[in-house]
Amino acid sequence: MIPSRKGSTASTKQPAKPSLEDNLGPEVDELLLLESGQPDGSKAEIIYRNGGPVAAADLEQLCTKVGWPARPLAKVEAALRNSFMVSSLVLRVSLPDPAAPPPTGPEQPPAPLLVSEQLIGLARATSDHAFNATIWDVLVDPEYQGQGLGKALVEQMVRSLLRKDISNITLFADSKVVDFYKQMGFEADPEGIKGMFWYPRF
Amino acid sequence: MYGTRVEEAQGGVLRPPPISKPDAEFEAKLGVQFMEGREGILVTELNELFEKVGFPRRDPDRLKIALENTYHVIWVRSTRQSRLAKNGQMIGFARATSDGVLSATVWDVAVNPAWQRSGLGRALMERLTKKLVEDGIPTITLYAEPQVVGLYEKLGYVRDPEGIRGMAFQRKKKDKAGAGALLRV
Repeated sequence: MIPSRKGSTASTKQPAKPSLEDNLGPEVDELLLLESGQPDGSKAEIIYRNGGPVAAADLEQLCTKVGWPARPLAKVEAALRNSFMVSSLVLRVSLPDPAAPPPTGPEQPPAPLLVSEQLIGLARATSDHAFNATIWDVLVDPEYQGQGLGKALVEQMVRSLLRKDISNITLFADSKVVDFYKQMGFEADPEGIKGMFWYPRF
Repeated sequence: MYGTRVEEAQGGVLRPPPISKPDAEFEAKLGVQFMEGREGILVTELNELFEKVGFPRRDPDRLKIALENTYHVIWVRSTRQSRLAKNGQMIGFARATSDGVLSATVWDVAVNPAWQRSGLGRALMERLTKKLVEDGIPTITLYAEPQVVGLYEKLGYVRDPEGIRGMAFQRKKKDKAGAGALLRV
């Protein structure tokens, strides 16, 4: 608390609650979230990636892993293509090429690495590109849950949408994850507005 | 699990809502017709309609972009000159965004207050929903203000099915209209 020049102390202000809106900065294509390395040069990285490509088959495999019913691949392909934004979590593993001879000394160049990538999370958003967006299909591979990756995924997607001036960012949340989204700044039933789904009755 | 996805309703093909009053009845009794698609829509006129129903006016350039990236638009057009409307005037509107295959969301359902209570809101929603269902989209959603929840329930929309809640990211902005005006249908 810094006293003003006149000698009287400035009143203590509550610091504003940090929001995903703060300090948006330029658009992000890739963000390294987690990294672990080994002395032999192998490493594993978990990366947030904005924009594809995401293979429909990889996504459906992930959906099956989390227990969601299967969807026709052609539809999933079209849905990804027609989404305004597709954000993914990628596990990138770099291993020394087993076919290459190991370096014989420290002056030698390091062993070449084989890099593989695996889809371990996804979120996509539909939008009118101007006012509204709805986030769908948020999922993280169960093997990688519990590390804050889902939160990072959604937060980065929200920030990307905000950078594009999409001011109304919505989603539909299973009751079990309402608090997860609340913590990020989403509100359920804002001003009493209810989410509704069309089911056939006739 | 961070899922926000709803299981496809009832598997199989969904049956569309019935059209409770045909187009001909609206033409005969009210002198209005239903138009599909954004051709013929002037953003200035759309903004006027939004203003009349209490929605915020939108930046015209962004509104144009929104229309270009909307999956389906249905609007109501007056076919006669009267004291309530000019010939050709837009008196109702509704649109839906979608990925074209899996999910859709309805936005901006608006009927000119002078024309409300004549079934146009319901008519718009029946036709828009029917189109989405016939296109094979299994998840059709909307965000409804409390006073219209009942109307949508009558059409076959269910609120918070299986406890699923509609949520919106809260902006810090000094937007006086609040979340409701942006979100409402």
